[in-house]
Amino acid sequence: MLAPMVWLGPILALISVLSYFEIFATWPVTRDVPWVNLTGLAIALGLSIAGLARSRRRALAAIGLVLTLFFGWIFVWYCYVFSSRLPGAELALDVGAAVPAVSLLDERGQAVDLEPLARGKLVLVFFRGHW
Amino acid sequence: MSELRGLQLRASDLESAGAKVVAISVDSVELNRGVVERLGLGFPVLSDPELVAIDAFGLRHRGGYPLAEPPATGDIARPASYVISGSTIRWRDLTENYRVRVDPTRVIDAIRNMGEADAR
Repeated sequence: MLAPMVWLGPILALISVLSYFEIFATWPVTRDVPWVNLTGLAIALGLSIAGLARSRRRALAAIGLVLTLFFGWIFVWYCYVFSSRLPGAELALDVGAAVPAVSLLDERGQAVDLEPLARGKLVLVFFRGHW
Repeated sequence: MSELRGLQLRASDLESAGAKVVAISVDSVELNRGVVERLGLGFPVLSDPELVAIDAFGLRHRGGYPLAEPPATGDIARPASYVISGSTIRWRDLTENYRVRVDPTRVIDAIRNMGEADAR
């Protein structure tokens, strides 16, 4: 008999990975520390290990465990290795520097000068993009 | 982008602290319009496809978006938040991991601390 955890493990692992990008990364409480997704992966790993221990079809159960480990490894690598690969902060303007005069288009296509805004209190946020 | 949502949720605190908010990315005007509408943002999102402002602040992340389609180079902004007053940078937050963005509470604290320093 093929225990259900043999295939439930990798499916839960895959859902845990994909749901981070689709859902949990859009909210700070689940984005900065991806605890929901890591919990899902831990449960998936438990299911896969239990599947390997209980299933008579050892080869299939082993493939399930390998898949679960693979999805988990990708996620942890993305969260803690890939997303840390940023250019050095030493290149960026630091406290005390003058704000450069720049003019860019806003979302309505109208030119916005940074200079007059920077005279008052301004929060300027650079972000990676819409995706 | 989620940092924009976080700032919008604290819009009233930012306003009472007397600060305006401006966001910048390499995205097009059209994409930014979509973001502003979808997230219901009350502040402008500026388009910097040539990385003019991004370079002026030293924030270019070469190849930071490997899935970019030509003519886009895949160069984008490193996530960064600045608090500015009197045309001078007064506070900044450069995350070391781009998943971890600035906490709006820290931004608001920085604005308020700045106000107290100015009052002295």
